Amino acid sequence: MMKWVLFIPELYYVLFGLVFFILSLSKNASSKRLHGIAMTLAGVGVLVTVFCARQTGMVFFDAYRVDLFSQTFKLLLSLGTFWVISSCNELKGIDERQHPEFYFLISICTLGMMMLVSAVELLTIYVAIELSSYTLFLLVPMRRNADVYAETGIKYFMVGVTASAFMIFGISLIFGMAHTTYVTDILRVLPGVIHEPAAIAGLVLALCGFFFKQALFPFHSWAPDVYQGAANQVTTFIATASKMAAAAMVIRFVGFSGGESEVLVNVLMTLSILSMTFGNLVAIIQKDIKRLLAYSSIAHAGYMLVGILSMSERGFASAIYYALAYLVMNYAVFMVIMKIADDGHNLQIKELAGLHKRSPLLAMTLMMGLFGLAGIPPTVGFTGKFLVFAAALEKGYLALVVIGMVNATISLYYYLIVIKAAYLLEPVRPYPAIRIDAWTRSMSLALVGLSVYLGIFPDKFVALTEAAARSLPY
Amino acid sequence: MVTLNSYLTLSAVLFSIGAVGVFTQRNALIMYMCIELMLNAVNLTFIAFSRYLNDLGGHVFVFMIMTVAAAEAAVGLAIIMALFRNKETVNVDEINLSKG
Amino acid sequence: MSFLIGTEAIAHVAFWIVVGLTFGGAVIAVFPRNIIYNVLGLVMALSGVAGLYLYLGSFFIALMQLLIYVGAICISIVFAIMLSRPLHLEVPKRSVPKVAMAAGASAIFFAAVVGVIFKSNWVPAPEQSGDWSVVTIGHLLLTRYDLVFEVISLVLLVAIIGAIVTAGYSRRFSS
Repeated sequence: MMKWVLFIPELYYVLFGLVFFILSLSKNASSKRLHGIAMTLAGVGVLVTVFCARQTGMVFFDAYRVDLFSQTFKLLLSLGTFWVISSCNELKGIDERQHPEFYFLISICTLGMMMLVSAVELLTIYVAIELSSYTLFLLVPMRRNADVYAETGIKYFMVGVTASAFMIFGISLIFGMAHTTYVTDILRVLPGVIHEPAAIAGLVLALCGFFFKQALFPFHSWAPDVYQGAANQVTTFIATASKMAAAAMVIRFVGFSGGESEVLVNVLMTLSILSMTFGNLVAIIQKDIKRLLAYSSIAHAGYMLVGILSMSERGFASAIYYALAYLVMNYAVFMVIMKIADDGHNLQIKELAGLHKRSPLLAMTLMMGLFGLAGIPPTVGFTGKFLVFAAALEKGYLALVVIGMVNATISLYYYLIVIKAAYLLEPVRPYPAIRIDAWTRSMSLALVGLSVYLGIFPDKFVALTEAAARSLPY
Repeated sequence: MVTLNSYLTLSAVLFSIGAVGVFTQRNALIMYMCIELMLNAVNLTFIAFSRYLNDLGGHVFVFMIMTVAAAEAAVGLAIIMALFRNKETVNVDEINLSKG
Repeated sequence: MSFLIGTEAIAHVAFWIVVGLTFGGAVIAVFPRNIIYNVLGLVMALSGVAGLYLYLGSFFIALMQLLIYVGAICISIVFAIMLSRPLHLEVPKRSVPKVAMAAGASAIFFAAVVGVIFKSNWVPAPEQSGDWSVVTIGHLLLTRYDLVFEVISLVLLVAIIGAIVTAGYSRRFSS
């Protein structure tokens, strides 16, 4: 059997990285041409993952598992990467001489995250997450005005490496308990010894590394600074694609317990509640829209965890659906930000004033994205929250669901502040008109259409996510 | 004979000392060194487990963690150097511009 | 009969010396304010850990530890120190509540981990034999851990390119 066929998406992204590695050596590649090449390659990458979506099998001595779960996430990842690259046509936040390296790091980061969602061996998981982390550590300090934001790079690095040290410590405890590093064997052994303290401690510590990527409560401290300090495109990438991979890994690791552990559920529940409440309360007072979205992402990591901690197939499926919803609506908001701040500066909320006159289409996209994040029907965000809370209710976590709903209401307040700025406030000084090209126009329409369509007719996608959750090896 | 538990305790001590350093030191370089200590503690647990579980996989883990640490040295020191050139400091306390 | 010390006793003493070296080094690496002491402490601690690996019978890993950690990483840290901060500058004041909080949190973490270690029932492998040579590790690297072996090279490539871009950029800019 031609096993390498299973590895095509990854090989493709290696090739993608290689192209930009070679291009980074040439002295005079114009940034427009680079963007054209990157966009073509990323677009073909989406097609490649779509074609490989139905593959199943194991490669690399059973350390690498290709199934519907991994392929769904690979599709989301390639889509996120394509969207981010498509909005890089005016990459003003990053010095022109670093553009080839920027695309190189983005493609390798995507590769690392794709390997992460397919890896079913602890060491492979560790190395894949380090590959994706290091590329992000390097992308963050690439911003042009490095003197103002230099410290964000170091902060991200320090928090990230510390979280990864805790994660690998947890993995060592899992190794000591389960006597194996293969996920399939762990799933067989670990539920039997889940009442040993070391098994629980190992799982919780190992989850730290992924919670860091998700910016869940105790590991959130990097999020606001990095969202603000990184270039807009890098922030978008961190906020969309890298959250997908982290969500997939939290699902995989929580599944290790086999749903047998009361302690683990309680820990996750506490983290989820703290994360939702903290994120939403602090977001209210933010003035910079990227900081606001950082705190909102902390809250959304909490909502996603509500579905995961239900530890049922439906719970995992709802979390996957929520990840998809989060990708669509978060990207919609970030695309608008990137277009309005096309010189790469940080956008304040008051700068949105009068947006509906400057560009009605962008204002509508922003509104739909924020409605989605707030969970207002009929957007995809509402359906996502509904599914997540339904999965939790099925397990009888009523208090958790009530707290989640209260939080959704709080979040509505600050999302509405932004929408009010865009639609009702008069600008204090005249801002220049916004140029939007045909691509942005069609992307805006597509995103608005997608978020409404997925919200009203979720059946097909719910079926897909349930099939993906079923294909997990338990 | 030294038992598994004593090796694990040794590494827990080492890990905690490193953690104290990460949270108290304000100098980015020293913080980085403390993180190396934490990784060493993890390596020690892996070797101990590898010995007691009779599984060479633990050795391969250590091998890879060391390589990752080398990559970390390259990335981390480069970021610290860039910070120093821009700010003339390696102290994380003085670099709180992005607060608030 | 004090002159007849058995090899076991010597090994025991050597073990405690190595442990002392590790912890002493770790404390020196973390607490002093002069960064040169910190680096020397780190070297001590890392060498101590290498000694522990020897005690666990992993000669190869002990050698790797000395080569990579002491030989490469510590030296690059020393380079970073030389390139960055003039040593005569004042170090920032340490805020006591912060230190106390961090020490408390770490102490709680330590207590929790030790509790976990002693409460858990570690099951050792049935037989304590097996092949511990470098050859076996090499076989493992090219079979079970094949993918990891490939990906780690990519990690190193990314780290090197990224380090050049991040650190080398502003120098190119200024000259």
